[in-house]
Amino acid sequence: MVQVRLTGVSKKYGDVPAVEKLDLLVRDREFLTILGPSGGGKSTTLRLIAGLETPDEGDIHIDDLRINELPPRDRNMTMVFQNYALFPHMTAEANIAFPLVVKHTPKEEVEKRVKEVSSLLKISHLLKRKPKEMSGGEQQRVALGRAIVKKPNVFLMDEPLSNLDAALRTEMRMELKRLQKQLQTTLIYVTHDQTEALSMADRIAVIKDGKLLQIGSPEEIYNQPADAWIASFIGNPPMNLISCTLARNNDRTTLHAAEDCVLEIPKSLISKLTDLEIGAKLKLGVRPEDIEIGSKGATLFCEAEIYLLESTGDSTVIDFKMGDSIVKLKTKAGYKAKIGERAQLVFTGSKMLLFDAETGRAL
Amino acid sequence: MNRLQYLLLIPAVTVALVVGAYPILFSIILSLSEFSITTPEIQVVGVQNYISVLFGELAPVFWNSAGVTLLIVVGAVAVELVVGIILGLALFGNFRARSLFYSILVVPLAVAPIVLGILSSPNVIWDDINTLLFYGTGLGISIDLFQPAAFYSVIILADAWLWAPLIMLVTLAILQGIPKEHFEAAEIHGASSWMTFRSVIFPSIIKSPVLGFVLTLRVIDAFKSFEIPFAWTFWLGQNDLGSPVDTFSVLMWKLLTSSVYDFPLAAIATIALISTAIILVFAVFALRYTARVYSD
Amino acid sequence: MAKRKNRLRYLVLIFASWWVIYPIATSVQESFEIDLGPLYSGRGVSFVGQFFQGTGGLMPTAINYLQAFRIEAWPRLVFNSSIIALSSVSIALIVGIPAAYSFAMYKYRGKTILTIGLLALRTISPFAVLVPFFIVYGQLGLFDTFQGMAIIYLVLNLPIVILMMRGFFKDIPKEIYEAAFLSGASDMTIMRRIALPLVIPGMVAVVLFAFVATWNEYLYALILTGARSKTVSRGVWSGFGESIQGFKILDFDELNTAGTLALIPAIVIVLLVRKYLVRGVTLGAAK
Ligand SMILES: Nc1ncnc2c1ncn2[C@@H]1O[C@H](COP(=O)(O)OP(=O)(O)OP(=O)(O)O)[C@@H](O)[C@H]1O
Ligand SMILES: [Mg+2]
Repeated sequence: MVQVRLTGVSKKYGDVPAVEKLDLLVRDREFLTILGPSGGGKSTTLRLIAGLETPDEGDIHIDDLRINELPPRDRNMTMVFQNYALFPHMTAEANIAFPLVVKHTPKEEVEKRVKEVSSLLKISHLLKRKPKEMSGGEQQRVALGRAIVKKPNVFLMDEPLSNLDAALRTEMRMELKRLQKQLQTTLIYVTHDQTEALSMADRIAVIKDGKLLQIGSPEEIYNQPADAWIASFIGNPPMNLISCTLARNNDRTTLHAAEDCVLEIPKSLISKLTDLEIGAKLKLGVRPEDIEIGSKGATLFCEAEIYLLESTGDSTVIDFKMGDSIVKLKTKAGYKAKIGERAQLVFTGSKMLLFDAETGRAL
Repeated sequence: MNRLQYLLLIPAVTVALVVGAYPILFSIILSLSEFSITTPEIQVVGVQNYISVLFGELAPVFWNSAGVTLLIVVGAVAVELVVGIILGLALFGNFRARSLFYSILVVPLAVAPIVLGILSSPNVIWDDINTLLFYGTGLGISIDLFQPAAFYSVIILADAWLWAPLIMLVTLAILQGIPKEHFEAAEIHGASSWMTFRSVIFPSIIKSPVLGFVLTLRVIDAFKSFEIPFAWTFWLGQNDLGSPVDTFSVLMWKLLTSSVYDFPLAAIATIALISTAIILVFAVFALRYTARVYSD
Repeated sequence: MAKRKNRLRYLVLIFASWWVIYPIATSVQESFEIDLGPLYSGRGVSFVGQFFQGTGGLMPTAINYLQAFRIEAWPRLVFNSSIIALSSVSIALIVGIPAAYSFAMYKYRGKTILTIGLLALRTISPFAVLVPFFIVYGQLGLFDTFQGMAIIYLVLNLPIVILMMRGFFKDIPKEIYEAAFLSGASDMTIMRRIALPLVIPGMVAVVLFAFVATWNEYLYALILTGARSKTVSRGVWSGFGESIQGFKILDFDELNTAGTLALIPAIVIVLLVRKYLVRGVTLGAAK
């Protein structure tokens, strides 16, 4: 069993806090993706786990062993870097063999393992080449080979695919995922690309400003973002966040988003709003695919003006102007509409989320 | 924990102690002693050598050398700085024959200072120049190299000949390090080349820690300058102590090699230490700021 | 506008090139016993100051070069300088590379002080080194020997090696070290199997630089070498013969020949290491 646990870990570079009081549990054999904006502390978290940095505060455990001071080479983890970090003066073969050779593994064993790994990664034909003589994707595979050859407890990957072109990236994503399941090894994967995180991970940890905002399955992160920022970070296009104020008259509780947009609050949400006062500022979150164009009479609708049409190939995204903000709607490809027309937006009540406008936390 | 970083330093530190600290200590003892080459026994006698050098018998030649050294340091480094920056600016950019000019202009970095002592001599270039001035121009004038203004200029220009290319390379490196966008931004905002120079180029050069560091090295080296003034003691026939081309190094060389003075090793050690102390104070002060180039 | 700027640029560069080439060219030309002075005057004589200098010569002759090689002094000086430079640089590399690696790779207190200390070696007056070594070498029998000179030139070469090599080690992306570290390699293995092979081109540059610096050094050679280990730079001044005593009338054509001969390898090396020139002359402070 290999489980990595960070408790209250902080790390500063000079005065710059990179990671602050981070608690994170990586389960045995899971594919955990650390997702977050640039400069959010993802790499630092990974480097702390690898032992390339030591925490200022807090503890890092592998299973029950505290490893704060354990040097990287004794942690039995490997890391794949964005720039591959292959040894330029060695052939692919020597690169892959390196982790075994430095452990004085018998020669036959080394050869056998390199062979296995290279056929697993389909790079047997590249073994005699130096990094300079390989394409980015090929180098990436060799780097993976070097990482898996010594059967580590934990794989660490820091944006390993971001230097590849789009097609190769998609292909490698699936391959990595397959590989991880096949090897049954805990994998911590850093990325700032939400599509990558959503498509590969068992669980996603969202880290921003050195703090863990949310951890959960891709579905949870997608459907129940704990935070307005996560909501606006994930999805393509991301979730609409519509500023509104809470109003009550008689028994009805409503949200005023704009002049033409007063929404009745769905029953599912009402219980969460009982503590709030009238006039409270909220953000209404709704995914572009959970809005439809409909007609008056539906319960949750707003009127808005079509502002822009974007075709993404497999779908059409319509931007509506509502008050001062833009609301995006995603519908099937080839949808015809005229800019400037007014239309009724119908929200799917069960998919609506509310966030505190000030703290950003989900209600 | 991990002591490897210190272990790795041991060989180098040992060597530095042998070729740096040991001779300094030896010199200190020597400077406090009476010592003659014929009776190789060192007798510690106190600070009398220092008194002799600073205030006594050797004071006139010592202070003379201090003046000569200062003149050469200030003159040479100033000329190198100005010429080097101009050449660096001239070499910056893409233009025809750039690499040819570059190759020519770095040649002095390969030239031994002693060779320049010869090249700058009256008999190699100045005879031709004077002949040209005297006859060729029909003006009947010539440069009298025995005039201090003339020979100091030549010595300083010779040093600048050697080292301006260093400043040139540094300037070039600085200019190449300025992000292109800065030039483009200046251009887009309609800045004239003069304004670009004033607002982008010049500040980058002047504020560069690398330039500061290299200037520090130049001052340190010019302070020890030997070969060119040494050659000029010959061209000018200045073999007495206290001559106008006696830098500290030349003074000590004269004391060390001329049998007239009875090999005053203790006095030489004293002068060496005092001059080292002077430049060390400057260096430590300057390096505190400029050695930043090595901190990351 | 741009044209005017370029014209100024070429003006500066052409003048500077002339300024660099003129003394060297004159020296080379005089080494072949060509003196153009009389031509300049148009009267067959040349002047220094107010004094008549000579009638010069216009017939090129290689006599000085023949003499340089025939009496066998010159090849001997080249041999001496090369042996001294190469052995000194080798020692400097052996002791300096570990230190350079330590400077480049580890963070620890006192590194800045050590760097400043290393640079402070440069402030020591050569005579504060020379006088003690003069005495000690006399006693140890190291005066006028290759070993003695190789040791003394460490003053020059050690800082060059440490500071330049530090830069080359730093040039290797830090991920490469980290990848090796995570692969389970020890620090020594990383240094031996990863770092050193990657800095070989830099090492060659350092050797060439230190070689030129040693080749060109004059003062230590002047005091500490004699007939046996006399170096090129000494030969440049005193001619090809044995050491000079005090002041002597110098044969300029001979000096110019020696100067030319000394220049050739140094210039070739400097142009060869063009790519690393800035690093070399700034002790690795600029790239
Ligand atoms: N070696 C360092 N020295 C100083 N500050 C650093 C260092 N490494 C990271 N930082 C700072 O720490 C913070 C977190 O950096 P980190 O590299 O962990 O972010 P990241 O989430 O990986 O970003 P990216 O997606 O850009 O790689 C940033 O503010 C960064 O500037
Ligand atoms: Mg990162």
